[in-house]
Amino acid sequence: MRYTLFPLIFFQLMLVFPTTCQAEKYELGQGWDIDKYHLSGYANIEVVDRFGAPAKLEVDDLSLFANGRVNRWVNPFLEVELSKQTLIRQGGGRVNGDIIIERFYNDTELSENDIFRVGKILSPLGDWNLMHAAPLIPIITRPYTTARGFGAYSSGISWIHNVGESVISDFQLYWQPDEEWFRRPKSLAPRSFRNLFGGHVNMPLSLIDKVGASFQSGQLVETGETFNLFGFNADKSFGRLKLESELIMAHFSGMVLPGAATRFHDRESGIFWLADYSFTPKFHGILEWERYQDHTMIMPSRSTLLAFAYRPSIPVVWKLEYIHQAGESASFSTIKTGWKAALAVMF
Amino acid sequence: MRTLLLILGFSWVVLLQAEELLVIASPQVPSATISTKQLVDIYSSKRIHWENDIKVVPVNRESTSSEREKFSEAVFNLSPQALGEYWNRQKFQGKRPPVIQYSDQAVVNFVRSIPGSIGYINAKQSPAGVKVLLRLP
Repeated sequence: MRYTLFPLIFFQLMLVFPTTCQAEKYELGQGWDIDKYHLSGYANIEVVDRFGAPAKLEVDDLSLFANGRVNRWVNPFLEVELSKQTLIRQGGGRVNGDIIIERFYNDTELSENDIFRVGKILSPLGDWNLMHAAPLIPIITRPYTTARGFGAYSSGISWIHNVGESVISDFQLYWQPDEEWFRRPKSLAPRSFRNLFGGHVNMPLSLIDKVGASFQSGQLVETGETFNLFGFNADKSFGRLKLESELIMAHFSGMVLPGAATRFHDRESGIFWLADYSFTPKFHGILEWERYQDHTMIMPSRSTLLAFAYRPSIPVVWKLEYIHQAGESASFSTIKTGWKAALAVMF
Repeated sequence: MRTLLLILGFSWVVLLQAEELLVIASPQVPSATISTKQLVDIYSSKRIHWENDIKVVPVNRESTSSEREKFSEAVFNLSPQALGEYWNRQKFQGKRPPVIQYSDQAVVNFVRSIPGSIGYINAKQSPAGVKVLLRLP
């Protein structure tokens, strides 16, 4: 009980904590312009109290990203982050975080509407994968649908085309000829992928609302299986209510390597729905539901999440959430019943 | 009574003018006018070059300014909060957000000196050395 109250106390503290600590001529969230380069980043600190596991306070993400607009040929982007650094853990002990190169690429402007990108990118699959920075997303726990079933990163080449005045505003194709560059540790990314090829089309409904469709094919390194995946994402606002959903369906085939996880199903699928209601511009209530059937698990995982978010200014958000997980849970599960609270700041 | 009405009327005109914005651009920008649709494309990072191939450099006021609030509503029909969140998302995707300047005079100075730049100021100002592309009511 003592530790169950930990996230609640943290959430209370956030409400009285000063939200701005700004130097003159600097606004939190705007980053820094240094000649042709722009430096920015975000931090996300979490209190996690899952049932049956030690409570902990950790730096979930400390991310720095820089981009440059040098000329038509050279427009680099780099994102480096410190991930999962435990600060305090119930019963003692700590886990040191990992320094990760999340993205590292260069853009060449082929024309006003065409960009050729070389390097490590976030795979454009759904919306969440491209926007997963904690200050930009409404909840703390990332749904499986947005990450588990596909290569979330692609290392290779990519072509982005802006269609202009059309139903489809832009599309992106990408190809990863081998494996992920600067591979993330197994604790963060239990699956790795090779020979990825995919694409995404984006259909805006307004500046903020959108519908998108994606596909990806490739090979799962750990099992040797090949897969083909289709995805769909939608965001739509109705006044104070914003609805968001993503769906993926993947088909796995080929022999499973000896010693690898058993394939119980040829298909892996997931869907989540999220409703975000803004009581005031600063205070939001959020309800999320997900069903995810992993192809290496007999039964699906089902989860329901209730959250509150307080955004005192654009780059700062405090979150408190309770998630209930039912169905099958595996060693890789990141969604477990319990409480979480977080402070996310973009700087 | 007539004098009082004239004073009230004049005050109202001044008040209305004070709420208007001027969209200004550097002298190197080839356009003489601009539409709100073109402003949306520029301020949402969809348009990155002018017709003469000069890079577009959009300039914003700070998030708490009344000019930015007015611009967000007049051009995007969004609150500064919603637009700020949009730009944060763009920034995370590697797109550079508009440059921030902290006063009308600073916007004028920036736009005058940086080729391809475009910004907005209160219509009470009489900017020199820049092009006025649009008056936003």
